[in-house]
Amino acid sequence: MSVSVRLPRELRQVYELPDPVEVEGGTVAEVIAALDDLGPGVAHRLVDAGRLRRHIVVFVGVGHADLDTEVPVDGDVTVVTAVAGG
Amino acid sequence: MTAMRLFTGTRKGLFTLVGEGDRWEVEGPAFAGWEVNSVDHDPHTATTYAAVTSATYGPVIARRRDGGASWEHSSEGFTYGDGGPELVGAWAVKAGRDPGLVYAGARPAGLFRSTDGGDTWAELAALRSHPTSELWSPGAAGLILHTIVPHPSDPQQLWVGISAAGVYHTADGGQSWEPRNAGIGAPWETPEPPPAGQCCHKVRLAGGSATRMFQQNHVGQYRSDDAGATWDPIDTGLPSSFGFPVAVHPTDHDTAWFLPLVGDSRRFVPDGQPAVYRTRDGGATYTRHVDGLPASHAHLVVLRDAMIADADGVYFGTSTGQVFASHDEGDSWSHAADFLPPVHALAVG
Repeated sequence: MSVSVRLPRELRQVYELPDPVEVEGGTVAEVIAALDDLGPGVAHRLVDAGRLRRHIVVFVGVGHADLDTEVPVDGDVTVVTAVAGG
Repeated sequence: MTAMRLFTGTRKGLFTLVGEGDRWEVEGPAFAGWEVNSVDHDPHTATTYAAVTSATYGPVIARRRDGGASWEHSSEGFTYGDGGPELVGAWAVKAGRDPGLVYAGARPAGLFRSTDGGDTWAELAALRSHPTSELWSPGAAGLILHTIVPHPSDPQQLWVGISAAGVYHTADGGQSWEPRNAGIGAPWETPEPPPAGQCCHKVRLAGGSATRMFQQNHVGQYRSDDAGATWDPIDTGLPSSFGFPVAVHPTDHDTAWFLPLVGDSRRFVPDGQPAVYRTRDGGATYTRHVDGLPASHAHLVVLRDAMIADADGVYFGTSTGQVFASHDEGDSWSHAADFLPPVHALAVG
């Protein structure tokens, strides 16, 4: 019984995480904390000041999520980044 | 001649230029695509530090020990905490005098300290809560702490430069601070110079001195002979009061280099011709140096951390991706690299 997490490739490469990452967690915050156990530091790439960073978007299933969004057993979590630059 | 390394932080990664005389090889980038605003090499611990920021994933302080295969990074404690402002940029990194002591500057402006070589960080919060912080306002790059100047012998003393807040000094290891901006205006704030809110672009301690400082400010070039307590303008003989960098000689407290830009809205070198201005008398007079630099149509910018000097040379990097080196204290220049991303920071190591 685990949550399947899809992370952006750049983040997987930096923290040497598989795709998808299988972790336990009942909320998005708990899922991110579990990710940090596997890749120490990765949580701070997604969260600062107690909230998701401004260019990070999280989906639970197909629904837009926040840190306290509940994640169903065997659920899917997808982390998406804003696209910008030059 | 032995090879030297010129760490080159850019808008899209950290490059290492390895040089022997006028021959240079480019290595990297590390942190490809991430912005590197400050680099420092600590010879005592043989460690290089870099202030690295991902626009998406936020800032980290990176570290590589000489001989180490790869860069490590950490941001543990590099935060204003739950409920605080999001920390969106790393703008300065500087090794302190004691082994393992490292300082980092952030956007929004604040100062962090590590005592374990960058594994973990904690904010020196007295600076951000200083009563004059209500006078701080963001510059074009945001409200950033971009410069950290350790005292050469007293580990309790430290200066920082913030844009736009000015220069602050601590004599007790960061427990208390005082602004040191007397003599410099902030005309966008008040007609009379305020105690803080000045737009310090770069401040450096003169070589071999604990009291003389040079500053490139938004509104002019300045010198202090009392550790920043008071400042006097030294812009006579320069083509513009505006610019970002100032570099200082490692041992001669009278020698410094400026690279003025046309201010304020244009922000490129005058007449499309980069020129380095050197003083050997503390800013009383300057000589202009263009030998080896583009003669025309080079409307480039040199940013605050992108000009440095050490015992072997003077170096600057440009917004158009060139790095120039001089081995005769600025008399003549040669290319060290070209076609890099915009150069933000240099460090020799």
